[in-house]
Amino acid sequence: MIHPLILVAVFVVCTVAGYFIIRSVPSLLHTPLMSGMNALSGVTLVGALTATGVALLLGETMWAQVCGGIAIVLATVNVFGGFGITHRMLRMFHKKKPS
Amino acid sequence: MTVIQIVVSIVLSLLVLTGISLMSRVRTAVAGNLLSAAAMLCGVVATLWFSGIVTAWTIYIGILVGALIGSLMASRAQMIQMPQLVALFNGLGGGASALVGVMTYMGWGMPAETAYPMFVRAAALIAVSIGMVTLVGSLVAAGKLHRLINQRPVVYPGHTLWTSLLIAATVILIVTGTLSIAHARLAWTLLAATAAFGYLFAIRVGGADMPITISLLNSLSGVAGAIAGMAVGDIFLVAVGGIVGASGLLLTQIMCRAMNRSLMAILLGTKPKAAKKQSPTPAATADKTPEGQATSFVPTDDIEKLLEQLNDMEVQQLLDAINALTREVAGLRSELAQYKLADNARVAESTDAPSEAPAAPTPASILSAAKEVIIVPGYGMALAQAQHIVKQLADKLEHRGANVRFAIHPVAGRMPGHMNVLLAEADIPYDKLYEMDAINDDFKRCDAVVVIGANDVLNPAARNAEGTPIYGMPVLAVDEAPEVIVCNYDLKPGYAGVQNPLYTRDKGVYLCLGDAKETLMNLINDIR
Repeated sequence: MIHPLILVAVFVVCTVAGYFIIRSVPSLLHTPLMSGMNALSGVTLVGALTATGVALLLGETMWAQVCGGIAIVLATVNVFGGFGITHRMLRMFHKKKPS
Repeated sequence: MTVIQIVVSIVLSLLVLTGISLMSRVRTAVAGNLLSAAAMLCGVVATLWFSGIVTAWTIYIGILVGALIGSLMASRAQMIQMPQLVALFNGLGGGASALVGVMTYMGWGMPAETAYPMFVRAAALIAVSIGMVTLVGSLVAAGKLHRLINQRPVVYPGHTLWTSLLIAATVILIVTGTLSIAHARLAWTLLAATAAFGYLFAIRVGGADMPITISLLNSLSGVAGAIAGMAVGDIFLVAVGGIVGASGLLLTQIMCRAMNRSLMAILLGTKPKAAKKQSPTPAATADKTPEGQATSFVPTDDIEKLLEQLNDMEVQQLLDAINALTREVAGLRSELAQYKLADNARVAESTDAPSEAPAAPTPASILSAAKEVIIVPGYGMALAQAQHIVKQLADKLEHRGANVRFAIHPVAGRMPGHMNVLLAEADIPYDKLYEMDAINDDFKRCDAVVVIGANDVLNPAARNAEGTPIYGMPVLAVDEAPEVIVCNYDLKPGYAGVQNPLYTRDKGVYLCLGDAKETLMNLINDIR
């Protein structure tokens, strides 16, 4: 397991980096940005997969399976829905360019 | 966790950051989104591989079900429903983080011994708390935006007390949970407490403050993911969660500034009027403001003293009563203004009948002659689903050689940047859309302004009527334009409850009240 301090440091660095990168996004694109971010927050899927997968292989309780299964479904809806809708929105902006 | 795994996580995190920076320009935004999505896919595959769970078949069923539901929702949704959809997805992400927290806390699916059991428990419990607040808060927000729940702020007796108690309980549960060994009952209690907190926090927020709430919840869902990542010990999860948290925070900040509201005031459910009541307390000089605007209520010192003796509940009742009265007065005033204007309208300004009197200017004749036109769309336009007719109007004017631009206030719509998406849906080119700061100086130079379903964002009272709730909020300088055509449903004050002095201006203001679709159609037909 990685040292907790490293994890906290990664969190801080990414927060600061994200803050400055996102500042350059114009308000024109704030809605797609937000729904894109939203999709990214479904990254918790990674955690859900690990926990559920390991629980299954270790043959843990039913509860673990139920919790994990729900977590995976919720996170995947978040990811697919989020990226899908962002793509649709951005395409709407995009198709006007040739005119 | 091996070195390779760490390197892969870092590379993927950088890819996500690159994807986001690509989203700062329309031309590259699609690619940016796809890049982020691809990085995420790689992250998932890498996790499956490194954790040695490729053979755990149940997870694929979960992914399949989720992917199906998510894709269906994404392809069916309309653009005006975007805010509630984002809120909903957001909540689901938070809920997933909370569940991951529960699993990690209970030690389900974790390697038997970890080197830092206290850290893991603390992170897991914090993930549970933030995730659950995000889930319930987002569901309430989505419900309000979708009008399943009353949009007005709901305040229960002892609301603040309960909220504080729940926060205290959450902190105590997290601390005891961290210090002792895992206990299922504690996890469920924590879930219940934070769910209740999430409900109380979101139910208090009014419909028009939703852009800020959604941004904040978006931020929280990222933070929940990051902390769940700390519990599981996954660098990629921590990194991406941090980025999302930062973006939500930034958008929250931008929204707060654009609406001239403090975050605390919104979270505590103080309505604009009440917020003002608290702010002038240190400087009682605010009482000297010209009170010609009967719509606003400034307390005197005596009232302040009185308020100190009342409890929260009574103050709230009092405020509600005052607000109700204020609204009634405002309603009467606007009715009066409408009669006055109807009289004027009968003389010259009718848009319904093709006017045969060329002497008096009509909205149509002004637009026919205008060379520089600025259109100011608001949420009312979206509610009337009039964006396609707005596009027709713009096309017709451009066809006649006019330069048509759109002025977008940062809070137009129900989420950050919402109006841009709605206009893009109607095929209006994005280079015609101007942010407030970019176009505000051009209002005095243009020939005509067409306001469609917008009110508070162009209310000059924000600039000169000290003491009103919106005073100090940056607004579009529509009042500097020589000719203003207002296509609003009625003249009632907007969400902030402040009369718009523009409507009663003597010269150069034309009101086309009613459904935006109809009034715009009439306008288009009359332009010759």
